[in-house]
Amino acid sequence: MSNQDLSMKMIQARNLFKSFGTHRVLNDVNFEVNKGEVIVIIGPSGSGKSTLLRCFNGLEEIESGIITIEGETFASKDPGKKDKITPKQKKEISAKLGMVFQHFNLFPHRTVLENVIEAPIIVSGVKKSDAIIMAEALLEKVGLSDKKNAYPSRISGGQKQRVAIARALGMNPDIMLFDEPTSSLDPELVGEVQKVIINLAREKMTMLIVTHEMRFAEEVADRIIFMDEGKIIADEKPDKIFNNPEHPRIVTFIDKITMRQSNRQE
Amino acid sequence: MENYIQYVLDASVFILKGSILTVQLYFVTILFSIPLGITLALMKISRFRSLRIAIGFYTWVFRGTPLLLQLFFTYYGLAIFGINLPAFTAAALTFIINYSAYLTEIYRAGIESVDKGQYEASKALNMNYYQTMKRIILPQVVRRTIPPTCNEAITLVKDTALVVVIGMGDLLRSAKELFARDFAITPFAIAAVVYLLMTTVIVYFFRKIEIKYSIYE
Repeated sequence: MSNQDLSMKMIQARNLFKSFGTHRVLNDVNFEVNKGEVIVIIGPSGSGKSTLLRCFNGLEEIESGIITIEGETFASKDPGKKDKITPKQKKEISAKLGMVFQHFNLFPHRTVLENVIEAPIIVSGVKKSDAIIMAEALLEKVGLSDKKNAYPSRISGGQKQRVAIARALGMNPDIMLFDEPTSSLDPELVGEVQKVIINLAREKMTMLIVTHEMRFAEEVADRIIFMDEGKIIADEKPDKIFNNPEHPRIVTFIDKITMRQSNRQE
Repeated sequence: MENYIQYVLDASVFILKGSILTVQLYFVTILFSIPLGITLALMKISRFRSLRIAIGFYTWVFRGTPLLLQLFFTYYGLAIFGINLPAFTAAALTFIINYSAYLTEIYRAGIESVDKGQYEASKALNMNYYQTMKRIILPQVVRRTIPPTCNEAITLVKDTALVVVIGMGDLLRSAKELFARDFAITPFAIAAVVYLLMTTVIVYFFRKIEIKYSIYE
């Protein structure tokens, strides 16, 4: 890998604005993601974390601002005007991103294996036999080879989320987006999902993770972004955020959430 | 006693002959109205407002007026404008249009009951609208709408009896002719048994599909 690859910006966001009705969810958001970086986004609910993530793969549209993915413009909008990027261009670029949802969103009528091979076959045109070989390898990676023929209704939440990760990886993304991947899991299942994400971080997958699990954030993140009321109010190394935060809102937030998490573990 | 058995047999054969038409009309209607219902349901949730309004008007009219009246309209009413449809064509057309209206609303509700997360996951995997509908949404809709579709399929068996009013001879008409000739209740009993047999087969058939589709639950 050359130096240029290393310095390439995987995502650049400039002056992002978005509102739901009168509520401004993104209020001039600016930041960059480097190749191989793991960025954890934290902040109070309603602060715009999930919306920001969803703007990067087109599940939400920005009102104005510019998003580039690997140097290509994915969204470019002036307030009140149409996006300069066509849906077709967007579709090509968004193929570089995979996404994992809070509620898994597995296809209930497809087995675990079928969930993984579906999109590679019908979207990317991969041969079925090749897709199966690839899917089996991915399921092995997330520790679910023995469940490949099970339907999603027959497996646990933690297993579902690991399938969802394998499914997203099946499309060969350069960037993975995780929208509160462990928030709807029973506490004892959180670890198995976090382990898979940590392994991906070791493989230098570029990732953006929205989470409320502070210990996990500290462990996996290269950088932590703290959002509040649609703004990024801190973009720092984990050590700085957790041990020496500047902003009083961060102190309050982290105190509140870590207290809750340690209570839960007792 | 022997005479009575002979009578029942003869009457049954006569009534079953009448039921051939019932069965034909039944299958023609089912064959066309289910795919039509799915197509119109997809149109009713499309982003084109005029299309949604047009389909909404159609289901409003055809669910809101008696099937009997619709049958009169296609057979006798159109004749005034010089469109003379053969009785079977008129009946089949009316039944298909009428049943498609009900099925459209059933499938529309079915599509809308699928969690939006399914669309988001499909989009995140870069599937287009057509792929999402065909591979992800509609298979789940089919499963969910089997019970209401089965209800419609059962109602249809009995609704076919309405074709008597446009002069067609069906199962029930045959039974009534025998009743008029013999003044005996047996033909009605036989007709009831034939209807029950048909609905039993339909229920059995739908139950099979339901089991097949519910393996993933």
